[in-house]
Amino acid sequence: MRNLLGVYAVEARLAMQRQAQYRGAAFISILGFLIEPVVYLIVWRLVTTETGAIGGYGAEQFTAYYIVWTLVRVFNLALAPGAWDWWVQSGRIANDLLHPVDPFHRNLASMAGAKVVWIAVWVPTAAFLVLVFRPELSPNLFQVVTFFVAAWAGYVIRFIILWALGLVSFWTTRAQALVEVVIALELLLSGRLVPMAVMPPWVQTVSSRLPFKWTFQFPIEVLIGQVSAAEVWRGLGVQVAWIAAGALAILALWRRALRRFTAVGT
Amino acid sequence: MKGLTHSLAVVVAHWRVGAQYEVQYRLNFVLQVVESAVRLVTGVVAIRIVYSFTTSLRGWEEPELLAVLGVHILLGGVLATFVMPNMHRFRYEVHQGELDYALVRPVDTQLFVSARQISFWNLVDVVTGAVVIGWAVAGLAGRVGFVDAVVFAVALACGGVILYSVWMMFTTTVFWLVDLRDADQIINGLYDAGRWPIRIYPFWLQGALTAVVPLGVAITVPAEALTGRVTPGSMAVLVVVAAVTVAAARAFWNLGVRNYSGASA
Repeated sequence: MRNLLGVYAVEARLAMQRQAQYRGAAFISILGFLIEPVVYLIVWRLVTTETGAIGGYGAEQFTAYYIVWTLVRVFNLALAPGAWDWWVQSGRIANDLLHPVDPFHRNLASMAGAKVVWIAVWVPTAAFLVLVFRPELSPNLFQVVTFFVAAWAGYVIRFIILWALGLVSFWTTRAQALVEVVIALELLLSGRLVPMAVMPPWVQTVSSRLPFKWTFQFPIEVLIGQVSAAEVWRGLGVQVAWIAAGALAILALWRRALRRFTAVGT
Repeated sequence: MKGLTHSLAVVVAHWRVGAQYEVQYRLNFVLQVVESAVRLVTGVVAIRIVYSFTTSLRGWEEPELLAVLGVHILLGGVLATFVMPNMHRFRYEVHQGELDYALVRPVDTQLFVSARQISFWNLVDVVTGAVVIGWAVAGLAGRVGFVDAVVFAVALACGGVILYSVWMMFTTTVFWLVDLRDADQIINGLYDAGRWPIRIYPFWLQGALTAVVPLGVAITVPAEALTGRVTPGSMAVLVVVAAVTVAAARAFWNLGVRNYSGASA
């Protein structure tokens, strides 16, 4: 375990240094990310000017929600399942399998390291959004600390989901359709499109029983103060449960996947 | 005139071969249907959620928003079928130093790099978009007359021309920037902003999506034409933007090619 922590530290630091060389590219990507929440924000501010607050969300709450959204989106970035197609089809995965540390840990750590640079680059873009839309956001220390815990936990859950989807590449090289469907479910049920408070009650129930909401909406609501302290603790517990369940699932899937893999050496 | 006929014959020949190549991979059709269905469902769900709370979004009603979504999907399908595959190949060739083979051909080089490939199954999106537009028209209950349909067709053609020109200009920057993967996020994000009518956006964003990167106007004005909201002024803006972007794309391409030193030894 201590060895593994060392590996995490080294991989994360290497990735951070690598990503720091491409900070301009990271900034441009983040600018691209901003457009989606800005559109949602404008639409919902317009709706609330006509209807008043919806499910506890008025114009100010929607504004704060979609601005924190941009930070959680950066936390949320994980290995895209599309990367697996290339990894498996090109046979490059054979190199990584020879490495003594499981590729899951190395990728989880290196994306986390790169994220630190991304978050630093995110700050000026967030400052721009705050200047333009003036959200009312004044979190206390508890909310800030639990937000960071929830956002990192959300990253781990989402990383596990996408890793599991990527493992499907061992069985079929046409996993794209499945990925599309899961990403669409995530869009609708995670709070990425709208906070669940806006959705019908049955959607809210479905959403709270799936992992997606705990990767996206939960960290946002922790920071903007839409959940009580008791709900924060409960939510963190749910996140831990999803990480444990996901880790077990990955372990089982990974062993089966490796049995299917045959590499041709040169 | 003879040169134009020759160029068009080259384009049609490429499209025919491209389509024949693609129809071999029939499973891709199924994948494309799933992808289109996902796009349609998420788009419609977003609209339904908004209109479950209000009947009008800055004067836009639900069937009108459906018309915008339909135009967005349809033009997105046109982009994915005819434009994107060519732009990806163009970028790849600049990376690999293979663009020289395209530049020495005895046809118009911009036309050649823009029309060599076709992603046939993406036509599913064009059909999906057309169906959504039909659905919107049904919801508009007799508001769409013959003149509206003609204006819509003209506006849609202008929209298509703008989209091609914007993507062409964007891709031409590869001569200087080489790697555009990160910038893809921005242009795709801006296209997605066109899923809602730009008239609901603040003035600065409307201006940006009309004059700076005119992707918004390319989608909203055709939808306005269909729903009878279009004014002669906005139609004129659309036509002018289309003409300017075509000319700018041409000038930028020429500048890029002059600047390109090639990769051959």
